Amino acid sequence: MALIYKKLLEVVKKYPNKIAIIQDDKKLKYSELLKIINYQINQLAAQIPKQKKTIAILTNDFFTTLINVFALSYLNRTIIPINKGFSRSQIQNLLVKMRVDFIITNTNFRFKSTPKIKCSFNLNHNYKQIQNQNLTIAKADNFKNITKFLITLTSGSTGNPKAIIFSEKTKINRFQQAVKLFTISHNDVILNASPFSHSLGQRLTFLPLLSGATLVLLDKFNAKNWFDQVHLHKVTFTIPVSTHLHVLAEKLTQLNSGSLRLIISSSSSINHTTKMRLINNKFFVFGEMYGASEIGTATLIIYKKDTAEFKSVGQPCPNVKVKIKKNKKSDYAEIGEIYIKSQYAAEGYLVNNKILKISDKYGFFHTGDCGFTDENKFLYFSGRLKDVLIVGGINVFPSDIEAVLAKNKKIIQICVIGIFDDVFGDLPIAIIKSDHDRVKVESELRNLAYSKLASFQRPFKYFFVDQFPCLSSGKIDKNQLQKMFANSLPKLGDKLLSARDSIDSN
Amino acid sequence: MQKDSIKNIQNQIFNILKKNRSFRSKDFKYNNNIVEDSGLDSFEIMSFIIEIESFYSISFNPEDLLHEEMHSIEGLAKYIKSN
Repeated sequence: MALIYKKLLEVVKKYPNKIAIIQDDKKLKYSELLKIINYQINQLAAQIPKQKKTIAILTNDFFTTLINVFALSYLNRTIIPINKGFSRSQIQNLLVKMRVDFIITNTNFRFKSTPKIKCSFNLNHNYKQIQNQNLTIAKADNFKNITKFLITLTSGSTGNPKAIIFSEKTKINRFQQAVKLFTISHNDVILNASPFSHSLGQRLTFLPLLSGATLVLLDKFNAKNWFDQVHLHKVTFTIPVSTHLHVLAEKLTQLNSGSLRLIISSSSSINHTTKMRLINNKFFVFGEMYGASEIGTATLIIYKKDTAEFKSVGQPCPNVKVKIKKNKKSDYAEIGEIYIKSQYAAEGYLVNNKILKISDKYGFFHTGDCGFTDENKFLYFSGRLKDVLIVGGINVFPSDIEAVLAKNKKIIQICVIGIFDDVFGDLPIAIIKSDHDRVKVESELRNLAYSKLASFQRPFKYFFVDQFPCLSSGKIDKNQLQKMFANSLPKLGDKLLSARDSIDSN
Repeated sequence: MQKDSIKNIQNQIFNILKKNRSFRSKDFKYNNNIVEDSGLDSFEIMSFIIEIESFYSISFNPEDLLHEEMHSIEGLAKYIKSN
């Protein structure tokens, strides 16, 4: 095994003096990176007994995580990167639930019954001692049937994150898929602004480092920092998470970095006008992909000026099948749940130390998303299945409402959720982030809704927020929004029903 | 809002009402019954009431909505003026 480590070794042999990682103004060559990893292999081999297989990593810097991931690949251990946003009690529970043997951390946290290995690496240190040593690296422990290389915990807003298992083989396959899809070469400079605990952060780490490209690390995201790094290090490719893209979008359309060739959005619902400007910009190519941690990238669309299917999230990638499971009871005949069969699927979920399959008996993963396909197999994403609102018995997709209202250029971000009403069922409300006069924006949105949406689709109320609550993945935390606005509508339904004999929901 | 005359409030309510596509504006008078005669469906009525609440920063008592006089532009304007 140790496939990830071995793949890096190949790259180091090929490009020893090429820059592997850049953080701020610090740079590290591939040969230097390997020496630090080898040093850490020896440190960990000395501290982790052979029978201890599951190692969690909790750090507040990316570089320390990265060194340990490659070292643990060599040592054939199972790695669980822990999101630093989890609370202390959540982490404590996870350590027990995941049966973690050791935790590698650079924090001062103490954990009941889980021994910790404290270490910290940063690019400011010159590691002269390590670089000058001729290290003999420790022998790796060989375990039979190692299928668990990485366990990724989903955002877990409910407090019960799903644990998704990846083998090294799957990660390598996904890396190879991404190299082909995005035509990555060793000449690329790839920016990563996502944490390693998130599958996008893993992709944007392995993609450059296993292809001999350069990884630009952005530990703390802000727009100025992002643009500075793109200009300074001549970034050629990146995939921003949805919230980052929202922040960057306006300025991105005018970005002439001279180097950036491709930006891929991971299916974020961006303002229609901004999206069209991104598609039509002169400086880089814009694309969108659809997928999930469990199955990787399922569909991709790289926009050209004449792309007609700009509302789509693309066509199935090679080795991926997309099926729409239609619901006969649905009001939308063509819309159904999106099922995906992929060669890049994760090994399974880890539940009570047992591996559960992620796919049904036909090999399809049920995404929990709704959508439809056209005659050319383009996939159109309608929303999350659990987000579908039933307004007076009619299925309403929040994404349809968001798409219409987002046409107002004064909106930075919008999210539509349903508030339950005893009489009407779910009643849509819109939550908006805007820098403009809220009274005016609300009035404009109401007019837009009146002219473009059916009565049952129109938001009943419009709320403005300075900031949306977000999950660690960068997506809007809809559960939190539900809690915030649960009592935001007056209970007028039954009174109105009394005033009218029957409900008319045409 | 205190400075708004009843007539102004009536006009504002009418403007909010007429934004609904299903509103039957022809011959609709300020003393007509909105629930019965406007052509608005239940969602539009509900939405209209909530929009009135937002616009005037008031909150209707659900019981009040049962009174017949609250079902016309004239009645609503009086209620808004007095609150």
